[in-house]
Amino acid sequence: MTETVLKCEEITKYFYDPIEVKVLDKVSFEITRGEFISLVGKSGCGKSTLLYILSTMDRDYQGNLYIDKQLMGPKTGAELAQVRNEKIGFVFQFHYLLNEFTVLKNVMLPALKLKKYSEEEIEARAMKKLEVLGIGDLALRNAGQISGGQKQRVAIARPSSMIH
Amino acid sequence: MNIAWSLLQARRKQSVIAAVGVTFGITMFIALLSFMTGLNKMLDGLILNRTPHVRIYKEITTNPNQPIENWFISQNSYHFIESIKASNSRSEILKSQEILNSLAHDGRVLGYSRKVSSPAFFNLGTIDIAGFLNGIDVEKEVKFYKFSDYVTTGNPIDIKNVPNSIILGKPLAEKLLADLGDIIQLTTSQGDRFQLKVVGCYQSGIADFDKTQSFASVATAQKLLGRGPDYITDIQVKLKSIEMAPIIALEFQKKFQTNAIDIQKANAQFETGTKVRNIISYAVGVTLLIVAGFGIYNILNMMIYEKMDTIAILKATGFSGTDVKSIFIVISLSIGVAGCFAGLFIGFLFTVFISTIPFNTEALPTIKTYPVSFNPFFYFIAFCFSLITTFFAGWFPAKKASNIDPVEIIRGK
Repeated sequence: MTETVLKCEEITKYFYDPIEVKVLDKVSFEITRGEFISLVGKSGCGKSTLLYILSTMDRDYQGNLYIDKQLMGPKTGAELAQVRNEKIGFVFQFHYLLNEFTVLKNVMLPALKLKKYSEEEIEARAMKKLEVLGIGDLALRNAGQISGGQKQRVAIARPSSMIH
Repeated sequence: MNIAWSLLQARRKQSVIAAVGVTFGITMFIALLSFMTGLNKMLDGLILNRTPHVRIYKEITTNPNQPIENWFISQNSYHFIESIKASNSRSEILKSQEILNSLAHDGRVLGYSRKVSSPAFFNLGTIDIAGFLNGIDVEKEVKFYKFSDYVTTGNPIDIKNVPNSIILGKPLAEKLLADLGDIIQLTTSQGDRFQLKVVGCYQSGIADFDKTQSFASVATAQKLLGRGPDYITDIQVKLKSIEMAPIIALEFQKKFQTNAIDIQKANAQFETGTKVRNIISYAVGVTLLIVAGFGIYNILNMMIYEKMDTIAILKATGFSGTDVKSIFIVISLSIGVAGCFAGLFIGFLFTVFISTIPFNTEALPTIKTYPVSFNPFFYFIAFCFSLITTFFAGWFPAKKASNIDPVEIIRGK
């Protein structure tokens, strides 16, 4: 199983404000299915910048990005949103939960958007994920009412609930 | 949908205030339009109820074909006649019986009534008060022109049933010191004197009109003027459809060789007044709704700045710009719809309240409370306007939200 899921070809990124800085200079690599990759570097060297590009949110770069062998460059905003929804999970440094919703709803939201499964099934899967992470008892609390560490665990449960 | 609802919940107070803005706008819109239209209808009714759709009469004019024309017609010449007078001109409608027969068989005519009007003097001691005597078909007047609404004391049918009886305009009766059952003296334009019994008082609401008018039956009027039963000065026609009046008036004019005027021509100023008042009330109502729309716009703008992070995360997890936009438009529309229904309901209560306020005036004997129109069309218009304004109030902030770049927000956190 050496199927390529992520491929970069000479990705170059500039920041223009306040002065022109070349952040990424022709970055090229491939990741195959099942690989576990860490990106390491000192502060400000462009780790996050690269991740934003890989996550399809930042579209202002040169070079080619392939996800599942599909070229991301020419896709529209709505198509990229679909790709993010279906294929990418995010866990941010800062947890970014939606305070208006319960913990459970936060975890369910991306799957609800995808509409691959029924709502009941999504809820069951999300509940299972929360239990694996030891926060099943917090499921019906509002996201604003739990501690920082708990929030981060919810943030981890959110993308992984997409994986079957 | 769900997200929109949760965001509304989170900002419940502001959402309610925004909705109250719409509610207030709609309430005032409904109340204003209902009240204005009610008043308009009443004022128009004051005139239009009493005005025939087509009035057939004989205008006193000079003969358009002077005999001298016939003499010179073949001789290539002009004639000049100065100060022509109307002579041999009669004030009654010629062949009135034939016209009446023809009207009776006309399918477009709802009804018609005869009228004999003549100037007359009411004698008060040695003083003569100028006025008009109208001989009317009282049953038809009651049926078609709500004559009985304006007879404040006495029974209108009495002028037919009691011989030599008359109904006086109320200010006129007061001037003559005449009460029900009193006898007054009247001098016709021919100089004959008659004694008539007062059987009622008439009050239309237009004081100058009431000061000079009096009503008797057609037969009484013909007798006073010394004319036969064919003597009729006006025929008042009520049509099945008022819109047909101008065409039918023209047709009658040709057919009966006499004058006919339609209600639209006779009362053009009323229609103009109604139109202007309607425009004013619509303008005020729409302004109120637009102000409410700005309220929604502000609150949504605030919400978007506050919820930057939420929007960014929604976008990162796969919601497209269009999804975000529709979330905010749904928020705006639900504020609008909720506010609108509350407004329609409160507006309805408001108009019901207005319609129970006593409104007694000397001039309008039939009106006891403020006139209000409950036209469902206003509610429909208000609903449409509120949807349109709230949609646009939501559209611009929503567009802004949909254009938020999640990287800009997330970077550096």
